[in-house]
Amino acid sequence: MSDAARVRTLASRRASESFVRGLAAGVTALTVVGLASVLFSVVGYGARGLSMTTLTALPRPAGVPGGGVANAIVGTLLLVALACAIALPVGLLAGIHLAEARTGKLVRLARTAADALAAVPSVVFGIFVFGVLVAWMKHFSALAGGAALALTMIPTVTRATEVAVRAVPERLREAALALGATRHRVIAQVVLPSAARGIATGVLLAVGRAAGEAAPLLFTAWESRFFCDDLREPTASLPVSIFTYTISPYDDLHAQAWAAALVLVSLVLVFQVTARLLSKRRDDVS
Amino acid sequence: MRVTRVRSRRGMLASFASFAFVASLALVGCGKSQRDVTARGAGASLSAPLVARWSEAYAGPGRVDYRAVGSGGALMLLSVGAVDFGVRDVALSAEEISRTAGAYAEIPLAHGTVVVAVNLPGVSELRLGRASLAALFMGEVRSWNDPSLVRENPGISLPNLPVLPVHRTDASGTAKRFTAYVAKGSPAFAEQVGTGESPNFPTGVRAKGQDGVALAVKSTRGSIGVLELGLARASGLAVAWLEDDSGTFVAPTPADARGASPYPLVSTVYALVPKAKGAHDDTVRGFLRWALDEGQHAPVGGTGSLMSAFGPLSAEERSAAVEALQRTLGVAP
Amino acid sequence: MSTVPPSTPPPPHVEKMRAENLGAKFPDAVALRGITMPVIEHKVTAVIGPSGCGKSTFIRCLNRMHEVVPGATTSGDVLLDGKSIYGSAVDPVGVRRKVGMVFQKPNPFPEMSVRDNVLSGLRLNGIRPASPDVVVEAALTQAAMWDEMRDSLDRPGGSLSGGQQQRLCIARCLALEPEVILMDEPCSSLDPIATARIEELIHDLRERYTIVIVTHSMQQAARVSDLTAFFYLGELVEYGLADVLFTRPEDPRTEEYITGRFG
Repeated sequence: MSDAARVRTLASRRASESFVRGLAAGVTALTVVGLASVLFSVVGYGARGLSMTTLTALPRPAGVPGGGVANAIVGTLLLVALACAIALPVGLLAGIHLAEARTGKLVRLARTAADALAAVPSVVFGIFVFGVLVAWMKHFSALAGGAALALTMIPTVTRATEVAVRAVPERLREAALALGATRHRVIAQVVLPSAARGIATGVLLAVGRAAGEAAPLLFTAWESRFFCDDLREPTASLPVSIFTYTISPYDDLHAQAWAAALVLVSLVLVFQVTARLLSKRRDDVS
Repeated sequence: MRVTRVRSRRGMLASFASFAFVASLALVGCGKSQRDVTARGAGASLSAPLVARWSEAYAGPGRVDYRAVGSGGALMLLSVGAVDFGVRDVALSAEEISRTAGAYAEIPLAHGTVVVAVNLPGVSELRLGRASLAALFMGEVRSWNDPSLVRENPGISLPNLPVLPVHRTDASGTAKRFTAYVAKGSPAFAEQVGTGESPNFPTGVRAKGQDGVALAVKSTRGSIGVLELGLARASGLAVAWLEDDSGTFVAPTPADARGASPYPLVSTVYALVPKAKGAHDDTVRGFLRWALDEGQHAPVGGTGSLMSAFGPLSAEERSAAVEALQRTLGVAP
Repeated sequence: MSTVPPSTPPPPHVEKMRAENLGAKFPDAVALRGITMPVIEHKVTAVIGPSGCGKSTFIRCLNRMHEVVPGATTSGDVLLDGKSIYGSAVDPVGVRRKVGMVFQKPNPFPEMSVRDNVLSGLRLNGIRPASPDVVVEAALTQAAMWDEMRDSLDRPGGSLSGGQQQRLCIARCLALEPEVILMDEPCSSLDPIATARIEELIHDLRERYTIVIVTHSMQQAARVSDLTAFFYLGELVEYGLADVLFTRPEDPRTEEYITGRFG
């Protein structure tokens, strides 16, 4: 190729590189702007509706002032706790098995199942739990809501656990085995503590997602205007309350919905940021 | 670096511990009282504001929670057993009674007023005959300044806006009552749209519950929807005068203390109570009895423009209701 | 198959371990053929040979770590104090408590503190020592790092230098009070100063333990060992007193290796 042709190629390469770089920057800016506008709206409108009343009072009939979303806040925490109680043991054990067993038909089947579950829309889990648990119990319940949320969490926890356990260096397992540990002790005392940070990150992300789900709760945990004092009873939750209040025609309910959205977003952000901080520490240390 | 690593372990433990603490707080439930047996009801969204106020004012025994799912939803949830009582703003049809094998007693509670609300800037009063209503909801009249509407409303300047009907997504007793009313004056409407809790409207948008209808009508100029009077007023919507059986246009008027009203679309709100024994019968009985006693004092269900749209039962209706309640659930122990 | 007695057995000596016609296979290769060799108590036995000669596989057969690899098998026998460690009734876990191992790349548990690392062997065996501090001090003293570490027992294991980590692994191994210590190229990832400290340590440990060390470096073998075995292509070629093997090797292959004609 002649020198002139080569120079043209270099210039055009530089041009296309700048173009792509500009495009990437523009798209990034759009994303940031989008995210920022969502956050600004939630914080702006939410702060306006936020008050001690909103945070601590129980709902009042529509149009009556003085209502709040206290039971929804507590309900969301309760449902998330229930979901964790179900999803964590299942996901952890499944993930550990998938990572340690490595081969075998059952392992491959289980991994395919976990991947498939990860793709199921959460509303389907709600319908499933409705058909199985609610119809059997003849009752909407916090238990059913927790079960539906747990189903959304299990694939993420399983995968995060598997990846974290696999990432534990083989030499640590060897060291433990050479010290005379049984396989179970190796997993419990060496592998899991080493994988704990990665697992915790995955769990927190799963929890953050579950806390914000409305669809699976609509026909499982349903709604309530009281605090949930019996797990076999329905319970309010932030996502469902936001949904119900937003489609109502009452302005004060709209304000409560924004406040609830602010609380929910803050809650989810706490989980996400904690997950971030945990994973960052792992990268910093050799 | 090494110190932060060991500390981060403790940090993780601390955050998990605090999470567990918060969660256990939730589980403790912020005060459970064994006496607070909760009876749950579901049903018409028309009567939701009324029943909600009643539940809050009700002092016991037990406590009541009510959810608006639509009159059709009430039957579904009752049949599954997920609620202790239902509320509908339309009586059970013969078909429904046979389908449910007479398992539920109908107990009238109050009178609600069904109105047609519109969002037309500059218009606070409007007359809509049965034929006009049929034409609007079947999509035959597309614009508000259609000659037929102008003729019916001399002196009112109707804007040139497209007509947007708003319907319910859920099975609604209000829809049943409304379509029955319109069908009486329009066989075409009866045939095409039908009467029932989920009519077959050919055009328009759908909204969930009457709250959704109110929100939709409030937000869209030119929209028209059917909902309860108190809610329409609270949403600041103009309501239409409807024609009674003699063709006279009547403004929406709630039922008076005798249970009567000249307005053609006054509905009765019924409680549906399973005749079979239920776990929360005491609470249901107590609540319904209270609704038939204290709850009937005007303004029914509380103060505020919302509530002034509901009317009490007439004396005869009330005693019949009390009797039906005693027959079904017995007397308080 | 080769049976080679020590050229000049030092009197008196006790066989702590003995390989008898030991063979070892991986799923796709044969690693060891018919090794018969003693391991003399309270002596340092070095195993040398070029890469791939099976020396690591050999010592991993001595504490039943070889079979941990999926599809790996052994044949023949290994005796510890005259009793087979491969019997069907023998629990490999028990064997590994008596025959400890230090690996090529130091592998302390990075998230655990120094103290917890030392105690980890006990914890992994379900033993809760009555006085853990005593155990920790004794093990670190034997590993010649008590003075360095006495004020930093809470440091995470992963934050130590390479040489310290390896000595920590030795301390961890010693806390279990094994009888034999196997070392698989323990200094190959360490600098010369750290290496020297470990060699010094090996010299001291000999009094209480029996040591088998695999090493890539003939100089190290010459410095550190009492007895040396030369492996080549999965077979034991020559075994004898280190002094003798390095100066007057009997087998020509040994001589070629130690004179550096092949690596």
